[in-house]
Amino acid sequence: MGWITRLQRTLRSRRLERDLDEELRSHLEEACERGRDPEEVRRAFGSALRWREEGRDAHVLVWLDTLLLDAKLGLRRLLAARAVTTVMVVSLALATGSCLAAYQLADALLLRPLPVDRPGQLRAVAFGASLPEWPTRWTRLSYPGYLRLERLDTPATLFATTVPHAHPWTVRPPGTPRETVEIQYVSSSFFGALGLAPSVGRLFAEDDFPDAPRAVITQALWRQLGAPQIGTLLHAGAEPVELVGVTGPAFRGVAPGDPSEIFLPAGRAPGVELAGRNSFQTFLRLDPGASSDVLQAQLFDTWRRFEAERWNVPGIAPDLRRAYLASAHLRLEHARAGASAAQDDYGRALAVLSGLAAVVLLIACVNVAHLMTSQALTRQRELSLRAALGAGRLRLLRMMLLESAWLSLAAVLCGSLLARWLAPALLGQLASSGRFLDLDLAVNARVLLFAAGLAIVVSVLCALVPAGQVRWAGAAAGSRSESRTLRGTRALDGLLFGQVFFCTTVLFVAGLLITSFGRLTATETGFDAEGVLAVQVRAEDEQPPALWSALVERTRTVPGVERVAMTDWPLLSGSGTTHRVEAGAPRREAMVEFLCVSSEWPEVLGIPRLEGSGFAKGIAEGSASAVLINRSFARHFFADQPTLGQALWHIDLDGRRIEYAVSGVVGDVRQNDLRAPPPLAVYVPCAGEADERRRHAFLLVRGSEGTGPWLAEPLRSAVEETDMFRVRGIETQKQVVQRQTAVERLLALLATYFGTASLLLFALGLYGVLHFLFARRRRELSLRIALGGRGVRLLRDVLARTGLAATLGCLAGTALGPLAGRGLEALLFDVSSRDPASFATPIALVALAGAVAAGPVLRRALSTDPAESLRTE
Amino acid sequence: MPRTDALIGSLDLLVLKTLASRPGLHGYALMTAIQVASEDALRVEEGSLYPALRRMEEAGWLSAKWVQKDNGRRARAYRLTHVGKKQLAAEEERWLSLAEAVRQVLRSV
Repeated sequence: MGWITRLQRTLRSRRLERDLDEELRSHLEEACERGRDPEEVRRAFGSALRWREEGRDAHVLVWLDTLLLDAKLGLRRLLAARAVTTVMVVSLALATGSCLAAYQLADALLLRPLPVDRPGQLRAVAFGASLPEWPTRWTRLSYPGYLRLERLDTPATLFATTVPHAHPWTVRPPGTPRETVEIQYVSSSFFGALGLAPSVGRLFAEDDFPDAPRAVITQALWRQLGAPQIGTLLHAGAEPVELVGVTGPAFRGVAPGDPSEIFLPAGRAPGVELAGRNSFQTFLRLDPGASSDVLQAQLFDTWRRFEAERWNVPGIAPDLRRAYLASAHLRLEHARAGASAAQDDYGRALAVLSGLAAVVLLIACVNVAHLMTSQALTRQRELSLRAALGAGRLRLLRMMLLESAWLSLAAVLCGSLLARWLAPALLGQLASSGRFLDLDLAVNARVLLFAAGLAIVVSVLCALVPAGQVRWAGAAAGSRSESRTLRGTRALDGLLFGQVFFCTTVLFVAGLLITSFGRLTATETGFDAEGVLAVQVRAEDEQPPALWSALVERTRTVPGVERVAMTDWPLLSGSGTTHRVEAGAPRREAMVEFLCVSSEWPEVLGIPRLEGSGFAKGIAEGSASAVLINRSFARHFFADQPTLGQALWHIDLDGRRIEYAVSGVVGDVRQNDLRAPPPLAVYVPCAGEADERRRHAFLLVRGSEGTGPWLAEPLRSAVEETDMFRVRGIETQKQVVQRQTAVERLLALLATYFGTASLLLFALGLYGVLHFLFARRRRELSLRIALGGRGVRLLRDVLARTGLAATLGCLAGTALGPLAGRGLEALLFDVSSRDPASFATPIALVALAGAVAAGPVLRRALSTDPAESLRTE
Repeated sequence: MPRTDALIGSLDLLVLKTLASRPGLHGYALMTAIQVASEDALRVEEGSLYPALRRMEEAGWLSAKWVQKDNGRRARAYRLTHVGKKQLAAEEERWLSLAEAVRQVLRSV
């Protein structure tokens, strides 16, 4: 009989029993009809129970049957101790929920393969150089650079895309939830290399390139638009484009976290012809059997030659060019799950999140193991009896495992409910700090598999130590109970050590992350972001400075507006331009930040004017060459010399020298990166004579009574009064600054969550252990109190070992902390893992939580009435 | 007086042999058939027969199906399987060699 038949029989055991009974009855009746004495026949059958058992033993797989029995028994036992079970399930659910949420995020951002043909063959091209103050890795290339690579004869198909970018609908179709739509420009080989097929219409063909006004859209957008006909005009981006096709249902581009909605031919991308505009990310699909290394060398060679030509301009110092080319490198990275800036930004944070979640899960498992061990010790009599009745070691072990399996099942179910809330909540938290991550958090087979794996790991981890107790309970069924209990309490001490150890480590790491976030937000930016709105304006066409000046004047008249300034981009928005500058006597050279600002810019942002009073003053009125510099620039180039009127030269890429004269000095501000010190900066007038025609600018608006949403609409109307200008977005300068700390904010939030969870779990665990210790020795303590023993001394006797375990755990945790902190250094700002304060806080918190948990148990122990307690015994 | 203890070690053989010659017997008929064939010398106890039938069914020697008896009552009718026939040959051989060995001992002593 095969296993499947056996299993079926086990599951149909009731029916089999009925069959046996019927056969027995039939036999009995026939025997009686033939004249046999019914009593005699019954005796011949023997005990009905034994008969049935023997029959069943032969029929069913006993192992499976007893397994079901044990599972039922375990469930009954857990339900009987409802309070303890609830504590165990809640601890585990907290931790498994966090793990599941972390995994769901990691899956959506980093692990899920793209819904394209053979995603494992995809690679992303990454570049890098080892120059001071230069990014060590970047992923984008200019379109001319990409074309150079594409034309190579390689064993791969190359394709390139821009990063999806939100563009406003010029005519917003009904049904679209947002004012903007995500547009991505793609190279001609994009859809072909990904092996995609259209669901409606067609995908791009060669004749759509370089820049036919045609668009392919995602199925999600197509549905939102009400399934428009092929050939419909879509009014998104600079000009209307014709819809030619719709992608398959799951495809949302190749940048997880940053999905696209409309795909346009690469030739339509702004600045596509510029060799210096690195806006295209290059991917490739390896031909079967092709060597990644050979291909990498081939691509690197071509790219390096391209860069050598591009850098061969007078504006770049020869030394810098040589150093750049010597250190430049190119790498092919696996892009099975796509490649995006979000992956780069949040990959590390997700690793920290996963690490913290895993440690908290360990704490929770130790906690449950703790409680189960305490229970096992109180169940010694029962376990010994079972062992004496012949229950083997494995059977007792299995009982423990089944109990913890029930717990982990309940925990994973509750945890997945928690994760359903937690994962979107984390994304929402990111969105509130201005960094919107669009991830598909749908539960898939991988997430379910992870949850199942988690349940198994949790079951085993929780049952490990209590199962150890079962082992000796079975082996030493007849030996003295005192020695067994001693071994059991040792196991409890070991678990307490583990719990304090993990808890201190989590608190240490959490402390570093929270302090880092605190220091980052408290960083002196040098300007006042409060009460300033940043209005992004885009002109229909390039407009002369005079029209932009008029726009500034117009917005200044909006009621509630106090000051308005114009600039290229808000401070700390992450954008920046550096130029080579020469100044001072003797002449010195440095790379300097340039920013276009209008005259009121320092006042709008509350940046102090240290010398001079604007572009117009100090030097000739309306002088085209008047600029402001910051304090660092003044110190660096002019030291003690008078600053006003000093000359400086901007050397452009063609080697031309453009002269400026200093007309004022303003205070230092953190310009591009909150973590970097204020750079040397030059502020050139914008919307003045010196400025060129421009298409984009930001208006910085300070309200007379603060700013709020109420100011947004009047500003929008003022800007859009003429058809020339459109508002692309309005946000507060504070939001812009907060975006700089989005990752740190998220990490600090997670650190608070995990720190609190681990403290709570530790306190619960400690309470459980102490409760058990005192309950077990109540009789002894009562006797000693009755005989005049002093409370403090008794406590010392009971707690000596537990206290030692906790102290050692705390010390080990603080020793491990700096090691864990070292791995985090890239994420930390102005915090050292060797800082004494980093050690003091976790120790203090653990001590406090310990005191809170131990207090009620100790108070109860000391206030025990010995007579009462002995009577109860 | 029928001897039940004489069956020790030979019950499987008796059941297999009886079913080989008369397939489709149910429990009571099987018991009676053994008793009659041995001219009342051997009687199988119900308490031994049914567990043995279950065991042999489990081992795949027998197959069973419910049939309607003349009195309208249902009963399980047993039949030898292919494996059961092989098992019968092996059991027969074992029994004969055992009987031969016992005979030799009786003769020499």
